[in-house]
This record gives sequence, C-alpha cells and structure tokens, in this order.
Amino acid sequence: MVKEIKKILVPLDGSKNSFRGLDEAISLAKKNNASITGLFVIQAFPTEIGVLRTAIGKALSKQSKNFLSQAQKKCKQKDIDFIDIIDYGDEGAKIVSYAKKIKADLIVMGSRGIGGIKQLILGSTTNYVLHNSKIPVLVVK
Amino acid sequence: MNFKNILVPYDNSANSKKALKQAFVLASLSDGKITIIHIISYNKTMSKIIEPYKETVLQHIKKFMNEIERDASRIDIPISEEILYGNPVEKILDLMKKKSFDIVIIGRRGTNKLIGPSLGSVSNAIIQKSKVPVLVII
Repeated sequence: MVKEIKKILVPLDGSKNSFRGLDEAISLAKKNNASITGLFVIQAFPTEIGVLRTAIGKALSKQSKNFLSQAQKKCKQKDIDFIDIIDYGDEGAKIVSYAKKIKADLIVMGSRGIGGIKQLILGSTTNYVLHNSKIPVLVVK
Repeated sequence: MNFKNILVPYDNSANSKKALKQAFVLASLSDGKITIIHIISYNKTMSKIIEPYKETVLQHIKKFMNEIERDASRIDIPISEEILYGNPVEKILDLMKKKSFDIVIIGRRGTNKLIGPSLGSVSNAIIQKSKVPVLVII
C-alpha cells in the first residue's frame, strides 16, 4: 500500500487560499493522525538580503510570524502537532527542498497564493511545485 | 472536508496505479466510494484508424478493470467503473459537472512520458479547471 500520510507540509503565504489549504490539511491530519509543518517563505534573493535588515524586512517577518501563529492556533484547536518554519528565498524551490528535508508525505497548497494576476488560474509557485515535487501534492481550490 | 466521493481517472500507467492506491487509502479512512474512469481517446479523424482495434482496446481495458475490482473487493471498498470515449479532459470535466466529487486523484503524468514536461497535459488541464481539490500523485 501507499505510505500513510504522517507529515503534511503546508506552504503559507497569508492568502485566503493558503488558509483553505491549511483547513484541508487539518482535516486530513485529523484522520491520519499526522503532524503539520507550516512553511512561510519570504521572497528574497541574495541581492536583497540587505533589504531584509531594513524596515521592510522587519515588517515582512512580523507579518509572517503573525500568519504562522494564526495557523498554530487553528491546529491547536483541533489538537494537531504544528511546527513552523520561516525561511528566505525563492518560494517554489524552498517548498520542494523543505518537503525533502523534513521527509513530508504530502504537500497541501492553494491553486493560487497572493500573486496579483487573478486571470492566471494556477499560480506560478503551485505550478513550480507540481513540476518539481517528489511527493504528492494536493491542490486546493 | 470528507472525501466520500473520489474520482480517479485511470490509464493503467504507473502513476495512475499509485493514484488508485492512494484513493483506496483515503476511501478507507473516510468510508468513501471511488469512481474510476477509463477513457479511450477518440475523435473524428482518429475514429477510422481506431475502429478495427476498438474491440482489442476494450478487452485490454476490461482486463485491468477486473484486476481493480478484485483488489477493491479484497479490501472492501465500493467502486464503480466507467469506460468513456472522447477527449480525456472534456470527458473528465463533464463527469465532474454531472456528479459532485469531493476530490480528484490523478497521476502527474499518464502513459505518455517520453516527451514533454513532468506535468502531463491532461493533469494540467484538470488541475486548472477543477472546482474541487486535486491530489496530484508523483
């Protein structure tokens, strides 16, 4: 049989869709007795690391902590283990590499994040993960 | 959300076999039932070429349909199977409109894995157009 789902990776970016993904992950985790890892990737490239030390960087990391604590609260209500990770870099690549690093069994993510263009049905990050992931991906609408 | 109604588009590729196994796991967790569809790609220009082989293709599909049925009855999960003719994407979306599924489980690539990107065209279209969650099996 397929490996049971014990660890679920949920990339969060604060968008409605990513929280919908979290809800789905919570109900899956409840059934499978799995733990959830929330990953917030702050988009930054090597040249922008300087920026991160400034006010914008501080605001961003504050925001990310805010979102992750919201997610943690949600998981606590349902009695599910929650681990949070904040990292800097390219979102898609980080999600795929963290999935490998923490040995996740499933990635749950929204079909779109906070990216601007509404007409695009599938977000670029989701698309990247779908193409490069080594583990199953649940795309939530 | 409960996954009571699960759709698995099946083409007997390694990925779709994995998808089916995952569907069995999810169905057993939530007492769900699985709908498996086999689609014979079919259009007007191809119809003349395919016509003589239709029987053979059908028999081939029935063979692995039986295998699936046996597997499912062994672990006691209700399934229903259907064979459809036409454009795979259209047929899958049609069926999703007609019946309300809670989740679609699909392989990242189907049988045609020699060329193209790692995300198949059918899977890509389903992910984009589906109104319900799609689980993509790698």
